[in-house]
Amino acid sequence: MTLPLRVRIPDGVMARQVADELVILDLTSGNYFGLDAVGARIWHFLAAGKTPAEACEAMLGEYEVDRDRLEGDLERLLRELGGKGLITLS
Amino acid sequence: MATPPYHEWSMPDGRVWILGYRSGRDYLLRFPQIADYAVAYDGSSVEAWPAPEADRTTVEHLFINQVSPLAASRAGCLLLHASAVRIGDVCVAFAGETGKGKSTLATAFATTGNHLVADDGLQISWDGRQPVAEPGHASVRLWADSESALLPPASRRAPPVQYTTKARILAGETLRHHGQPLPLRCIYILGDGSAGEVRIERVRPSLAALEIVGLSFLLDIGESELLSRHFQQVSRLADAGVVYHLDYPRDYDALHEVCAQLAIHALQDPQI
Repeated sequence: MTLPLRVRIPDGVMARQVADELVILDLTSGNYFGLDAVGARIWHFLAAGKTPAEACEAMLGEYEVDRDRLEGDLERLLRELGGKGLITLS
Repeated sequence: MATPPYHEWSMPDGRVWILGYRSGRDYLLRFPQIADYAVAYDGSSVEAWPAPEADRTTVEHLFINQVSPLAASRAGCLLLHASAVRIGDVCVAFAGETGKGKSTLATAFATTGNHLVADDGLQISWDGRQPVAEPGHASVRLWADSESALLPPASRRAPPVQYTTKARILAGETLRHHGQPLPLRCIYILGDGSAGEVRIERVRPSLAALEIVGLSFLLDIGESELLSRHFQQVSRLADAGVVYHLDYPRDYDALHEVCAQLAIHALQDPQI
């Protein structure tokens, strides 16, 4: 698995916590996206400026999950968010 | 109009229903062969320009039922494609696309000791963290089969409108209307009727927000400030934990049993 080195949340992408989940809106496209509680936690770390690798470490400290599986899930999520223009990957 | 529309609203069968144009800072909503409505940029005023062949009743009805909610959305109000009823001291709403049975279910409630609050256009305001249902026009629109199944023949009908064969029934003795704001206890998003029995499931908050977006009146999705405000309101509503999926067999004989189960759910244990 190869996590991107950095992600950036573009201007015009808004996120709001709803209960323990998250709703994201891209003002440019008008597209909405929802994240479950785990995805919302990942977004929280990224929005706080953590790199994907740092977010992964933080998640390993919070959840009982195998590293390979977490990295795989994280990579898929980041690609999906990137594909929708909700983050940029580098 | 010389410029192409910025948005088209379509009917379920694909026919164009509304063409939305920008007119300087303002908007022009065109219902082909019926009327143009000029909406101020901030939604504060609407001016109607009927087509020569349009009848006044239709033009007025479209203003109440379609244009006014869109204009209110531009003014920052949250409006859903939902019908709503008063049960006890609270309001419950039935949201969904056209044809899902919102008005029929609301009428079933409003003819059995409860009250209609709004039909197919529910404005939501706030009292602190509590969503509040604002009353709508005191009428309901029904297809003939629902009307004959639920209402006596002497019900007060409004004059027909030219774009649909749905009857417009005015509130009165048999269809009671509640004209004051009420706490909004539950929003039930209606399914397709494939359920064999009444099925109610709470919707996860993030999914609730996405579904509410799709069921909102929104005049201009290209206007960032408006979209941002709408996003905040939708998220707030999803966060209130009031959104459920509801499905039930579409059988008039079983409708009152559906109402009874819904009333129990809404009044006794809405968080399940």
